[in-house]
Amino acid sequence: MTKNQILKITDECIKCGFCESVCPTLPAAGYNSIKGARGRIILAQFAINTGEELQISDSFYSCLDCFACLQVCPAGVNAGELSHLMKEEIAEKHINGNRVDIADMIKETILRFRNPLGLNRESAEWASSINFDESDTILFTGDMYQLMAYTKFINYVRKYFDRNLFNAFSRLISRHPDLIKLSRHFYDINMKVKMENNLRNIVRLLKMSGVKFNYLREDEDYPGMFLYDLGYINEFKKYANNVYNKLKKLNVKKIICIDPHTYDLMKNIYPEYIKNYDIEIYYYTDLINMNFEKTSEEITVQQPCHIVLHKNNYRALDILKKSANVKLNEPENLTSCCGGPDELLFPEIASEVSYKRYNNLKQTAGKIITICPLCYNNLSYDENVIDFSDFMIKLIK
Amino acid sequence: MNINNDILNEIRQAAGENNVLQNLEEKIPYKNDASYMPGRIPELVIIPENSDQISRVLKLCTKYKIDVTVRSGGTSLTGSSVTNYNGIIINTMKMDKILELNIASRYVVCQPGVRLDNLNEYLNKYGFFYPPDPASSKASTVGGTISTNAGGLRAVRYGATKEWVLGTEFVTATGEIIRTGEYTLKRSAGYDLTALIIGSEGTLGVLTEAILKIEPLPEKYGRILSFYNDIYDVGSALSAVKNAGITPLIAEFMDLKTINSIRDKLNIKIPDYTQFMLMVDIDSTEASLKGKIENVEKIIKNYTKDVLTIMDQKTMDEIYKARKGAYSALLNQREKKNEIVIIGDVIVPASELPATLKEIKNAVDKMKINVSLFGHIGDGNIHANIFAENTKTGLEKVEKLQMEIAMAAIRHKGCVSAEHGIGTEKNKLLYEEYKERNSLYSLELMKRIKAVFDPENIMNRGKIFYD
Ligand SMILES: Cc1cc2nc3c(=O)[nH]c(=O)nc-3n(C[C@H](O)[C@H](O)[C@H](O)COP(=O)(O)OP(=O)(O)OC[C@H]3O[C@@H](n4cnc5c(N)ncnc54)[C@H](O)[C@@H]3O)c2cc1C
Ligand code: SF4
Ligand code: SF4
Repeated sequence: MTKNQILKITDECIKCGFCESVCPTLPAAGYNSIKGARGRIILAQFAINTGEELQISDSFYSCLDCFACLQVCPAGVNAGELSHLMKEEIAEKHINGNRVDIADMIKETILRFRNPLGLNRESAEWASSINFDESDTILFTGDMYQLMAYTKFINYVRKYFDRNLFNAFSRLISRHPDLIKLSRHFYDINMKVKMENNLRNIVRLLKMSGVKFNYLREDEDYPGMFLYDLGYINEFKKYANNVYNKLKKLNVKKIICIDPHTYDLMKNIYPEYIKNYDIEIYYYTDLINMNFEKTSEEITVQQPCHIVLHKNNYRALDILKKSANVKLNEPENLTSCCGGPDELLFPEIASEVSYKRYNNLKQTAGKIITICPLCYNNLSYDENVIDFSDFMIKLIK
Repeated sequence: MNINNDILNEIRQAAGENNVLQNLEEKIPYKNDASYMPGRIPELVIIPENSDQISRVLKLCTKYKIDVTVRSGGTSLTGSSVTNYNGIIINTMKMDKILELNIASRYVVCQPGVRLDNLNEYLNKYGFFYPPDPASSKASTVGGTISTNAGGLRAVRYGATKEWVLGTEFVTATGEIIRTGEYTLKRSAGYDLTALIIGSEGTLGVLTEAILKIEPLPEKYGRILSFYNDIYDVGSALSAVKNAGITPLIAEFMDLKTINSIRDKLNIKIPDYTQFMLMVDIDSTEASLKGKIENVEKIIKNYTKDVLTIMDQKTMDEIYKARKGAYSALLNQREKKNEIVIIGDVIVPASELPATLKEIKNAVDKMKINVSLFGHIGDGNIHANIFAENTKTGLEKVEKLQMEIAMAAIRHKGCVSAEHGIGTEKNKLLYEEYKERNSLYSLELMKRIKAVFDPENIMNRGKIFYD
């Protein structure tokens, strides 16, 4: 079935190369075509049609899932979606003997702990002094803000490891998942403080807007994004159903997501895998209903791919436009990826992409506002990169 | 020649270790460009960073007689950027920097991997632009468009790429790094090697730098759309505009099938009888534009009653974008799953257009092939887009029709390729053109010139020349 889906996509492609011109991973990978949109399509077509023994995982796992390719493709082909299907083939069937050790490790830890690093308790610490409401609406962090401090640290350390050693380490953890919990000691302290503050900012903005909501604290499950993104579809399906059933048991009716990845997943992907899905999903910026000061400051905005290019909507940009002088780097319905999704598996590509994007944004305005923790983590090369919640909180009247 | 381990090591050293792809999976994407011509998986792909590396690699390739294909954006429609032999591909995409902008002297210096839209985005910030504008400008590059002498929508006013290249840095097949032309708008200094390199389709060596002329952005322009049911009237209307001494900024036509493929993007009311649409841009100073446009409207109204003028920039931009996407949009008009759309590309002098269009239409009707027509009518360039099944019989039919269309163009003093180049797709047609003109010796001379740059015939073998 997946193979047919893959060929249906690749056969539509006329190989015009337009997608390559916007695919962020291609220049970041030194124009090695298998790490660009068209190359992924040609390689997938070849691999499926010939069934040859090929090492193809790097090509598809390095795709950022940003959908920039789809925006320019004259034939409506989405190399991001294709990469996802190929990862599914690789992960589920280990086609052609491809393995991705880090991906396997992450899968094991998520299935074991309902959290990629087994840090359920630590993930809820930011809210220890906050009281929430009794409500069937919950704030759902998806652990994204919390995980950033740890990813930053892991990547920092990774630079000193060679890839084989890191893979061996990943295989060890896959066999002994408890070891992952050691990561609780390894995080970037500045990032942790920043991210926890941002989480509190978000709560404050929502409360001031009169929204009543609860937070599950340690009981909040990681939504399973990595399982989906890394192609473990059977595991994801089971896992997502468990997450959903637990939420239903807790009588949750509405979810407020605070990062675009979790939002996109729970709003668009969960319903594909869960029968009669009936939880309403909101993006937190859309519930903000208050007056802010106006500033004449020039800002630019790193709009998240998972909102703008995945055809979701949010009000964040409107809110910013009302409060500051917004200068965008591209038309409102477009954006360019921060490189974040490649941070764990392809840190070199991630940093090339993020640095280029940061420099482009920097030329547009002095301050860069991010609306996604991943974007913040990847673009915060200086103090003038600011999370949306942090920027808005300072403009409260 | 096969690349054994010793040669491979020499090449790796010459190119820089990190610039060589040798794993099969990394080479697979290079077997295709945007054409339907099949290519081979190369033995090696080299993605160099500078001309010294290219020079060292080419010296080795000449020494060991290794076939080389140069490639940049890989948007070629004639199979010119894939290899047909057991050879290497040199991909110049890593050389993607804009090196110098000199507004006073009106030039910009670029590396070959700069994509045209990126170049124009950069120049527009300074109120300037680089006029060559193929519909592939999002992906096609300075290196590739110089090597195919690309045209595009603006060629009626600004000409093709050859009008815009002042000079180059070029590495010959033997590895000599040469400079041709320079930074000045005029030169009278011996043979024009720059002109020779333009359109040479990677058969002489590798272009590593280009000095390009730039223009200030037009002050103001408006767009006149007009609608017809007879193709002859389209050609006549445009001829009349040109006879009145007016050279439009662009002049494009498209048939109903093409209109239908981009109808939702055009977002205008199109009269029911329409079989063809003409799109003409007229520029002028702010003060005199209105008068000039009224004048053109009046001329066109002698050939059709329906004329629509658009002055709003946003709408004009949307229509321009839709026209640029026409070839791609035609994909959605495919009736069968295994159908491909092959884009033809012939040109005749503007005065021969009405008659040529009629002959092409007759040939299409006679062969009962699904074809849609559009083109840069302002400069006589017609693209017949042929819908064909991707089977042996389907492609044979295409070849036959391409030949008929080419012969029509030749009869009307035109050429078998206007802007896409020859590659492997049209080498037979090119041969026919020179044969018809009784000038096969021209091709012989070209081969001899190639031999001077490339004595071992390693560069893009099989392209341009029909054996
Ligand atoms: C959708 C679509 C629309 C198109 N519309 C137009 C159009 O309107 N007008 C038009 O003219 N063309 C058009 N084309 C054709 C194509 O874009 C042009 O031929 C373009 O010039 C190719 O540029 P490229 O950078 O992709 O070059 P490539 O495809 O990489 O190469 C083209 C040729 O140039 C040579 N070459 C590339 N780089 C170098 C170098 N550095 N040194 C020496 N030789 C080199 C190659 O060997 C090859 O022979 C279109 C193509 C597509 C897919
Ligand atoms: S833009 Fe679309 S049709 Fe063109 S190469 Fe990419 S996927 Fe294929
Ligand atoms: S989704 Fe993004 S990274 Fe992946 S192929 Fe498309 S443009 Fe490239």
